[in-house]
Amino acid sequence: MTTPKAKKAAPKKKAVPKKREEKEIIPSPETVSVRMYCIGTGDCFILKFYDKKRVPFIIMIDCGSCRGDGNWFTPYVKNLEEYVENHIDLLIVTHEHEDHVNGFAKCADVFKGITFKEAWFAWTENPKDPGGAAEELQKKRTVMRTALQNAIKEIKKRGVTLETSLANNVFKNELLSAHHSFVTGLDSLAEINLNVAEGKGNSLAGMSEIKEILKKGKTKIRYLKPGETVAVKGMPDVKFHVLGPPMDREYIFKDGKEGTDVYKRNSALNESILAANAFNYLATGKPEPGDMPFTSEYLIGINPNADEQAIMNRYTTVECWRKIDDEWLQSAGSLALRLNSHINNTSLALAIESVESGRVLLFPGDAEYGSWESWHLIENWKKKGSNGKHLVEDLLNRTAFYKVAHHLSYNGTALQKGINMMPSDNLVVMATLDRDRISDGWKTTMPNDLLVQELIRKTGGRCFIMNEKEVDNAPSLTLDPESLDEYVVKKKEDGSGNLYKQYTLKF
Amino acid sequence: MLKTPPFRKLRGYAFDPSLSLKIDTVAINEIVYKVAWEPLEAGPSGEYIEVIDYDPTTQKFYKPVDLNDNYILAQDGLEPGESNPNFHQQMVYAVIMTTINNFEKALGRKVLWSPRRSKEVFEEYVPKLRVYPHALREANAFYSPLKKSLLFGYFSSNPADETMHMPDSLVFTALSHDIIAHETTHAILDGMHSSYNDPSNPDVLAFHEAFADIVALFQHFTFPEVLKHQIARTKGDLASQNLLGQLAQEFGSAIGDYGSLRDAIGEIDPITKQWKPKVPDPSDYRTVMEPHARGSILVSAIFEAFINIYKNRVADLLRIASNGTGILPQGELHPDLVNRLADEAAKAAGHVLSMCIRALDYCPPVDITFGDYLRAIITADSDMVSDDSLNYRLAFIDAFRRRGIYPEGIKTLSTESLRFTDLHIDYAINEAGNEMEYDRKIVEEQPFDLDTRYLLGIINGFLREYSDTIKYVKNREKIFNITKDYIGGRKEGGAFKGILGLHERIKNKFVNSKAFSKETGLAFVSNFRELGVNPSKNNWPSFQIQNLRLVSRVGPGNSQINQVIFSIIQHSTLKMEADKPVFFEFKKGQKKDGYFELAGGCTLIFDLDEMKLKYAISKPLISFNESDPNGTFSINMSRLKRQYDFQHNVNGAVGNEFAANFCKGGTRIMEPFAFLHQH
Repeated sequence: MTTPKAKKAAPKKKAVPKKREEKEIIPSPETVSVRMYCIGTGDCFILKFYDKKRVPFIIMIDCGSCRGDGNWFTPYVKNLEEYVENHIDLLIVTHEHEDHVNGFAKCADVFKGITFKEAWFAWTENPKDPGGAAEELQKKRTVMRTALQNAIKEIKKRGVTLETSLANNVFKNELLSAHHSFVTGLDSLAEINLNVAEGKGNSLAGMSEIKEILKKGKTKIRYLKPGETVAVKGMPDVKFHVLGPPMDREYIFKDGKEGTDVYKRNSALNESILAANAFNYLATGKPEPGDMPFTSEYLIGINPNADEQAIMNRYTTVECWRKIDDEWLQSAGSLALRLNSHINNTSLALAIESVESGRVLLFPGDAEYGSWESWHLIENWKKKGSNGKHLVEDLLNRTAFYKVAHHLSYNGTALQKGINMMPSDNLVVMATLDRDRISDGWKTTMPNDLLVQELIRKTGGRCFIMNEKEVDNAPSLTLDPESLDEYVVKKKEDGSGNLYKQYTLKF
Repeated sequence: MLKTPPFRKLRGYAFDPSLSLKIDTVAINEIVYKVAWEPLEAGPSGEYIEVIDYDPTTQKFYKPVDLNDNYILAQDGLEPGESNPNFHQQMVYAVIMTTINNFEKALGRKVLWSPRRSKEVFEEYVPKLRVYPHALREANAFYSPLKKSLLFGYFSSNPADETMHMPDSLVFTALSHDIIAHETTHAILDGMHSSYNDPSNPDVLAFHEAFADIVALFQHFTFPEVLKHQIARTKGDLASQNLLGQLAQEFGSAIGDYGSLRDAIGEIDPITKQWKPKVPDPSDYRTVMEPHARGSILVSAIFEAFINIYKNRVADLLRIASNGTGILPQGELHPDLVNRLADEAAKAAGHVLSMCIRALDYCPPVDITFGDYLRAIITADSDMVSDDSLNYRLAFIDAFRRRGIYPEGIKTLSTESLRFTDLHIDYAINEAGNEMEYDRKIVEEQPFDLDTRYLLGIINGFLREYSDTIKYVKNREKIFNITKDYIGGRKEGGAFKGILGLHERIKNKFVNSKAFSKETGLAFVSNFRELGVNPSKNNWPSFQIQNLRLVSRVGPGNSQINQVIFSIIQHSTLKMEADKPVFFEFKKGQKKDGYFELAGGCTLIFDLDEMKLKYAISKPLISFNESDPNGTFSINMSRLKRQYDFQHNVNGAVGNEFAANFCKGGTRIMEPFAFLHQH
């Protein structure tokens, strides 16, 4: 089944004069095929870098989808297995979100049978990170995840009695509907951020699973830091520049906005820590004394005086409609958003550069604005680009392929410090959005129409979205992809949508 | 016999606790709030507010402060400090009461909270706003229209500038003057214009935000101690006017999003390190939609007007001080000059604040835009101050113009054209029911026929009766109840006894009045069903009367105004199909799915002294078909289209990330302010 595809995918080779000795030929890469599995909103890529003669160098990036069980994943992963012939030279796991890693757990058996020569993670995943920054992040992440789990449980628990308690409320329907959309939003965020099945704050199953597989397979593992430029044995003429995740905590938590960056606020996890602690009390049943905002002398004790009793009565028995027992649970929303952005900004972001052609492939994971901004501030790359530019600007100027970060959301692609710096000739982009397979909570922000239009303009229509359904003015209206030789789309055998989309470009 | 003191003095922060840590601001950060004396219970709980310090995140009550305690009275309240929740209770009390006082001074009447809607009572009196100083664990504070409560949060800070806040220290929003004043303003505004919670165009929530910020901002400038200190400190920089701008911005920068509204005022030049006002970009008003960013356009407009007014006011002082050279001598400023400059700034701020507040009475009841607000400011001020010798109004018009904010439907920008049209509709009978003498010529020019003017005369008599009844009533509950009776009537055993309400009277008088429909833009016409207006029990078109109030003010130069104002609101239920409206038919069992409501409204201003209907400030629900010989009405398509496009455009209506993720479904947002400051 793979043969015809592989043939098509392979570049048409020019007749290269064989002058040099076979032994010396360490062929410089000429083309790369990028295969995007149409697995549902989420990333799963195979890159094959073709030299002139040898077997291709194979990179896999992520494996996950917002939706779907093991059965759903099977046809994609099986195809992948055959395509790579059970061998992957380099595995890149960008960040710990379900839509990037859950495939590893759902199809663990397949991945157990694949040989991974090398695997890369972001420095934030390094359990032995010198200085302990990664450990601190991981710890916080666990606290936040636990808190979010507890908050969601509590919100749902209170939701059960909501209808009865609102029986006499004029705004019953509106309030129920507001509750419903809040829970939907939380569930959408929980779905990719939390180990929902387990119900605790631990790592996602996909992340643990792939690490376990790599450990057993004795794969060489590297944790990368921004500002590093690394190479791999099989492709000495290709440089991998590590852009993110940033080391500076400020940027991991930064939540910028398109264009002018209207709100310069630090979306710090710490700002949610008090709420997180309180959510965790909900599970344990009582607050810890150290976390109270005031010393206990200010609390009304067990023998209240008349004034104190009066205040308590006003709250508990008079005008009960004014009680505010549930309002603070709304903080779960900002906590969830913060956790989500924080993890996105720990994405391993790579610029893959061909030394010979100078062309660049940009794979930023789901980096959000804060990460993009930090790339340009990497100290040791100052003036390292052409004409004294910062290397990152130079790399962006030479980008030939861009994997759109964060599924076409509004803060996934920086404007001035990102897309505006990319060239407008020969740029190809791929975006992993499928509105058929995404939870409702994400639909308002994905895709961002303006971003889509800008990408189409920049690429002249070479903008391949996993599924164009519900995308206004879809790219294929500008340029019919079927008319391109470099483009392949393969349908699933059962006819239910596409298996993958693939594009081959000069590198 | 001792009289009750006029004030209760309470110490508090002028800004927020972080400024007490900086050596150059510590002196001005602690001020004494002078709050009108009132009997208080522990809480504090007084006539307007009750502080209940319950922390739902820990399920604990904090002890209430007793401001009548001798020791507390003897030292002007508790000493400011973050670690004592009793001081937090005192701080919220002092700032909320100061804000209320500013509103009452400007409006000339008592502040009433928006009534509660329950199953038992359509509009129930809410005597006290409830205040929860420690209700949330996040960098947020909001006014809840549902619970008539202010909720303040506290959080662990992770500041951008670690020299201002200690990292990981607790920050209490209940200790920030700006946040308290801001949220209180939301509550007061809800009491006056409850429909401003419904975002029907991009300006509505932005207006709520901007207005709340304007009140917080100008309240600062009315503290002369603060101004004196700052003016003395930055000697010589007075002529550039940058001082006040920089101050205004710094005031707002302490906590989170509350500062962002003021970023539009100016910025620090990266090269010279000097603060400079931002040059307004007229395209912002067309392109910026997020409520805070959009609100900041209005804030900066009002602020610029203030700066220009201040400049005018101190021009002579600067000439005197510099012997006409415009260059001040070296060294410290003369303390008298500092005092005078601070006085002028405080006075100008007080005037601007009052103008902004008074304008609320002249706003349409629904769907407000910044342009409407400008017209309201100009109209309210023109009614009150006939001689604008210091060019206040011009300063406002100019500042709005520079930001591309133009009211709709006017041809030129001048005080005259911006002022709402004086209708000069006089009545055919006086309040005693006798025929009035009138000028035949004026009658012919008037849009209203004799019959309608006869009916208006009856309404006027009724409104005068209301005015006489309410004028000397000081008890807020009585004001509320009397007003409610005058709107809805007082029924006993199903029949109107004593008072036939305004609602009933308007229904009876105008239910089929083309003239009235035309002027108000509301469906008082027989084919109201075909316009999606809900039929009431007796098959009249339903409508609501809101916010009946007596506006009685004395301006400078002893000019006096006596007006009775009320608003009529009406809804049409409809949906759009292929760009055409399809109206809901109010049949039994018909489902409202897919339908939405378009609100129309009109504020009617009756002048009691001039005996006329002076203004009808309308957001028309329907429009008159001029070309139709039968004179029919149809739905106002331009308003309909605008609201529909706004509410159905994801990028426009959503506004922020929190709302995008958690507030979907097209239902009415019940807590519009809860998520506005979310991050």
